[in-house]
Amino acid sequence: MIIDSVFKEFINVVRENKNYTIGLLNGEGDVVDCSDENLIGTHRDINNSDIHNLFYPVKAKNFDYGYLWLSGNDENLSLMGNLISDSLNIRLTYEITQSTLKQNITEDDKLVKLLLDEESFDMDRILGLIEEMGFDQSRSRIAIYIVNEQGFDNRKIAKLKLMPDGEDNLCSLLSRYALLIFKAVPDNLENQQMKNYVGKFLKMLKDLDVAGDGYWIGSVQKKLRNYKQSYRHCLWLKDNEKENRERTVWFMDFLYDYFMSEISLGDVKDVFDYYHDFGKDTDMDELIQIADSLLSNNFNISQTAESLYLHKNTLVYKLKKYEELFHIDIRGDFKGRFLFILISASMKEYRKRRRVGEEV
Amino acid sequence: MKIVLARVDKRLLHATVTLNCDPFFNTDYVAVVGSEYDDDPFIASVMQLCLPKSMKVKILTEKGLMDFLNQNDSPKTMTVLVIFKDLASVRESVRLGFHVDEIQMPYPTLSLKPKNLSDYFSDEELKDISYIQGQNIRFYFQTTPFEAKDYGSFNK
Repeated sequence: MIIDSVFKEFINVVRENKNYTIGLLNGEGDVVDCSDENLIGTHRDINNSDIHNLFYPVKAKNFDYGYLWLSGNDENLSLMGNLISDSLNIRLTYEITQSTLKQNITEDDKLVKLLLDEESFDMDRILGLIEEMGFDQSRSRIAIYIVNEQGFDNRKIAKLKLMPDGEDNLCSLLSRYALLIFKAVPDNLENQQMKNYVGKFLKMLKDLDVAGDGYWIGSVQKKLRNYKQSYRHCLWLKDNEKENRERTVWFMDFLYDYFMSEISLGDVKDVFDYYHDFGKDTDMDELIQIADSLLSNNFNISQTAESLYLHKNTLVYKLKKYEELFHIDIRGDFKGRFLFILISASMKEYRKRRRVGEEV
Repeated sequence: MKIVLARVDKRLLHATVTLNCDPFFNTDYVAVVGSEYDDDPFIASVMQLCLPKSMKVKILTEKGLMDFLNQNDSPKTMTVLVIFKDLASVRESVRLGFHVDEIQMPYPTLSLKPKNLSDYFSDEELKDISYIQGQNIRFYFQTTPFEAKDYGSFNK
């Protein structure tokens, strides 16, 4: 027990002063530890303090540890008693907090490890641990992945559990440099509200000196089974986003890019390869540029032409050529637009591979 | 010596219970300034028991604080949390050359929004605050580390 080791330290200090005897009594008044070992096992009446014997309840974090007994003939006995009693209670509170934090973070680590397990989703073990931890699984949560190139201080991470609502968050250091938090969030927040909510949390982290070089925010999930997906979305963002030092990147801002990345562009290229061969003279870079511009201008031809510094008729002429080449309707049909974007994406991939010298 | 936090708290080491949830709290030293116990080694030993041995408690006079901060006998930069007994102790330390950018003060009431400083501080204390602010040191109210820092009340 914490009290045993802490009280030993108190005994060692008080023994340096021959004026005082210090003891720890249980609730019945039996001496369980004492600076005078001969007195261990004797009894004291805790309700009968006098000028030579003082008793103080030892209590920390709503837990009773018995009584502190201070005995001596010194005129400052009362002053010393108050001081030792205060010091003991402060120290116990400190040690209990430290121990709880350590235990909490260990449990968080265990749960995160189970939730992210690549091999299987061990429902029984997860539910058992959740019950043990008193973890509220009904809350919606969002994965926050933070990287600090200098490394995190795990003592500071442990103390994140003391933040407001800290008990509802899962915090785990995946490595010295990567921190994963499943942050509990209110249900039904709109995108901007969610950003504000999580943004405030990140600011609080920075104020607590838990800052990162980059922040990646995954998707909101309600089911435990899907927490892994939210984490994967963070990793996808990290792997696919450009430089983002000090920046917060939100998965929900990149849904289109994410789903595009999930499509097999090799398939797309194979399907259109036949037509592409007929159009060997097609300027690949120009096609990609036009497709990107159409996408960012919501397929508005006039705006796209303006952003490309082209005459509208020139752009239409080029689009007609693509339509004929690939047998799709870019200007009038949603499916055609989508296919054109896919073709452009497959060409980007093709261009990328060719740049690094791959045979394509 | 790097000061990670300076706080005015008459509870002295008791304040460490409140600060225990602060990540900054893992400091090498906790300096208690202005306590009447600064010259009693036994009492100093008992107060050290409040915290684990990895965090050394120093009970210092204002002059002793300056000597302690100026000592440079460790190759590593040591960190210190300074707790002042009262504003008079801060003022005296500042007069002797103590300087930090800002000083934390717990809210004087349970309500997080003090109305006027004069409701909570004596004329003497207000003079101390004014003197310290005049040395380019800001005050803010914050009882626990997770509350927002309230600088506004000191700027009225």
